[in-house]
Amino acid sequence: MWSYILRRVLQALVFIFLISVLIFSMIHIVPGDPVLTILGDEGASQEKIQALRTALKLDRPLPVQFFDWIGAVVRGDLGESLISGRSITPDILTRLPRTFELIFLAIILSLLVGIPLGILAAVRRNHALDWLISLSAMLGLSTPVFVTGTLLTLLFSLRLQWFPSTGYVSFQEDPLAHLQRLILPSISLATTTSAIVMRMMRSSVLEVISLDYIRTSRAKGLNQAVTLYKHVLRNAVIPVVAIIGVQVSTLIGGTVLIEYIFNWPGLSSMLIKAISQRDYPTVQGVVLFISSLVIFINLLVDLSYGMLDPRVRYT
Amino acid sequence: MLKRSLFILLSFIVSLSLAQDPKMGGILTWGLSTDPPNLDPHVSSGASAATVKMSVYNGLVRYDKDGQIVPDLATDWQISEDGLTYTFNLRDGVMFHDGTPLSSADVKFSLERIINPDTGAYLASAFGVIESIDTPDDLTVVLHLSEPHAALLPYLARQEAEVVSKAFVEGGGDLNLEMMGTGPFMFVSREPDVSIKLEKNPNYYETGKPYLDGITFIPYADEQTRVTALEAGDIDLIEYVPWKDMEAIEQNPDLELHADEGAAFMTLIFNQERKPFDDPLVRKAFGYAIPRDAIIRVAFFDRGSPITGGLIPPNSPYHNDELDGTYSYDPEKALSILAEAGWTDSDGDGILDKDGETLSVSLLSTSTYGMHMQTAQVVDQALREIGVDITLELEEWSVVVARQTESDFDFRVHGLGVLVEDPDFLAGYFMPDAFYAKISHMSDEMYGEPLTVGRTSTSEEERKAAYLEFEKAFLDQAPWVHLTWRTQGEATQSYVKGYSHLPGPLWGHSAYTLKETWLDK
Repeated sequence: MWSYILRRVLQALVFIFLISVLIFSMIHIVPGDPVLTILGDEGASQEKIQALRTALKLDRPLPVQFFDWIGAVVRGDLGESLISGRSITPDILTRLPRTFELIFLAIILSLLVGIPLGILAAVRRNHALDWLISLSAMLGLSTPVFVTGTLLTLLFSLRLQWFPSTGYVSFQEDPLAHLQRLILPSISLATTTSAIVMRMMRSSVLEVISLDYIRTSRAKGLNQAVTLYKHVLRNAVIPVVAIIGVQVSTLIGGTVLIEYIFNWPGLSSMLIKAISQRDYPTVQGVVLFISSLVIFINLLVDLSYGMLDPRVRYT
Repeated sequence: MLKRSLFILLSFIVSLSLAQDPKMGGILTWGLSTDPPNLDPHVSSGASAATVKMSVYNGLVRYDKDGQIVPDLATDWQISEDGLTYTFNLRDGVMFHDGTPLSSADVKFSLERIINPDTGAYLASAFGVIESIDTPDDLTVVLHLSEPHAALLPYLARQEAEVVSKAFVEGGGDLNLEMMGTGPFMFVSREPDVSIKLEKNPNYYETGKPYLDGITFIPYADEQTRVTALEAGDIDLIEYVPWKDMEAIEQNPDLELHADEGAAFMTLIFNQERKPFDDPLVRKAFGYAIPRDAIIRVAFFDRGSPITGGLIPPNSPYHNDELDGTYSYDPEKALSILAEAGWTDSDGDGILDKDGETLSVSLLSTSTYGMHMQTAQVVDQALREIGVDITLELEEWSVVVARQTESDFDFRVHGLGVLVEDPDFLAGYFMPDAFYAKISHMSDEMYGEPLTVGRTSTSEEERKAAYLEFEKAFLDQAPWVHLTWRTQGEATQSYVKGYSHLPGPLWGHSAYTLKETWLDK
């Protein structure tokens, strides 16, 4: 078990290093210049540009810049934003919880909606209810998040005026206002995932139901609810857990659009802004942070199979 | 007699009851189009940032809601006969937000800070004519100029000329992160990309103002999100209303649009170092080949007007009416001018050529801003129709900026602004040492001279003649081809009262009226 974990962690570190090389090269290959973003599109003389480039240490060879950066990262320092001059790590740490509360709430919503509907569809297989649930799942799957987000805003903010359309109020400042603004973006984010959870749950339940031991438990007279709860669900839920692990990275991707539409000041909106400004250290810092997180979550998901299914053993 | 007095009395009562008294209190939420990159009042960082800064600071003079220059920290001023000495008398009893009194030393410190090149101040070159500053007493400031500067007062009325506290800056206060001025509102807090909060200054020098308890600025990077937030009632006011939404906002009884034109224009900038744009005939021909009405329709939803003559805005007393109509949409004329320059379709392939070479040009624009892209698309289509082999390069904004700085383009679409309420704004673009003159390689000295006369002359007649000469030469040589004026506007909830959109080029200073703004709810 421990050697397995160690191996996986080492593997993850190699991945993270490769990602850092990739992201560093990619953002530097893209044309554009942070120096010009800072100086504005007017009145930037060549001398001014050169002076600022030297001051920001952007005039050194790229490999030197890379090892300088990665060296600081290993010491836990992501550097400073070229544009605002603020330290990047605290900015990431302020914004991370905002993005994660969106994702967390979206996952909870997906499970709350997806699991019961999946079971219902499986139990009522090929009945009208199953068709209806599967149809809405198809709809949820095929609607892009920005369409869902825009439609929800139109209906609940502009028409019904139940929720504010945009914005962010911190929880400490006003808990109710905070939650009100959290709901629409989370629901938009959750639509695709709940459809995936529902479909996975449905097929998983159908598969387990057809297994011999279920037939046996029915044969010995256990009622359907007990069979479902005690024997079917526990086994059927494993693939759903796996899919949630995979979905976290999809959800992080989804927040890029959702944070934009709902003006949510999270990690993704920070990344988008940094990319358009060619704020190299910020882009590198945020992407490295997010990808390390995704790798770490996948690791946790792998390890959690063992807890849910005693047959899984690590060798 | 009695009847008349009664009538006067009655109309007086009626007018009293019609004019609403402002309601005190409440927080106004303002949807910014971008999060201010810095808070330093002297460093330009766009109209959004300026809006925030001008609520906290004051200048010597400022604009009122009709666009007139009026006293602010200076109660009055005298300009010497030769235009070389400006004497300002400061208002007595003005306090900075930290409780210290304003004195002439703060004004001197601020102006010197602007002139110092290390500050990177926006008005550094405009104030370059200030040779020395005297402070004979605490409430008098005297500026000595090296040569007359006709537009000095309009520049002093700009947001970027505001007065900061000498003691605050020298005591280590960071103007980039904190704001500390004498203005109607005081800085409370800032969370990047989330909000900037201001509260009422109870000691503001205009007794009884401001009416609001405070202002919260919230940045909205996406224009659609900004409009939705206003429509949903989340916020009270938005700036940079997208043109496509203006009509809907006008028709919405809960909202009000505050907009006008004469501040911003679309233009074609030619790189005159590259062929075929080294030939003025080709540039002029392009001026006739583009349907400006189509640009206004496609890019600005009919919110704009064509520029067919000079660039001095129509509402300016310096606007030259006789030049209007110099350029019109006339593809036949464009073709004949091109033929004069030697470009004809000699091989019948539909593309113009000369000495075996086709008329191939590449138009640089951006996909980041819709108005730039749509303008470029109309230009592309129109030139294609007269037989120009044109390539449309739609790059991301930061790429466009980088390529422009390197002069790496044939010609480009740009949207620029009239930066000061005076024809001297032309100098900012077209003086031989100006950035835009350089990148388009407008080396021609014929523009520098009239612009210098326009700036330094104290005679209005002489200035008018100089600007007419400049505009005539410009239209004749067509180093740039101007396309359209566009409307610029804000939108508010209808309960927002007392807010005014300043006319023409001053729109970016509309936040001067926030101290008179109140919420009728």
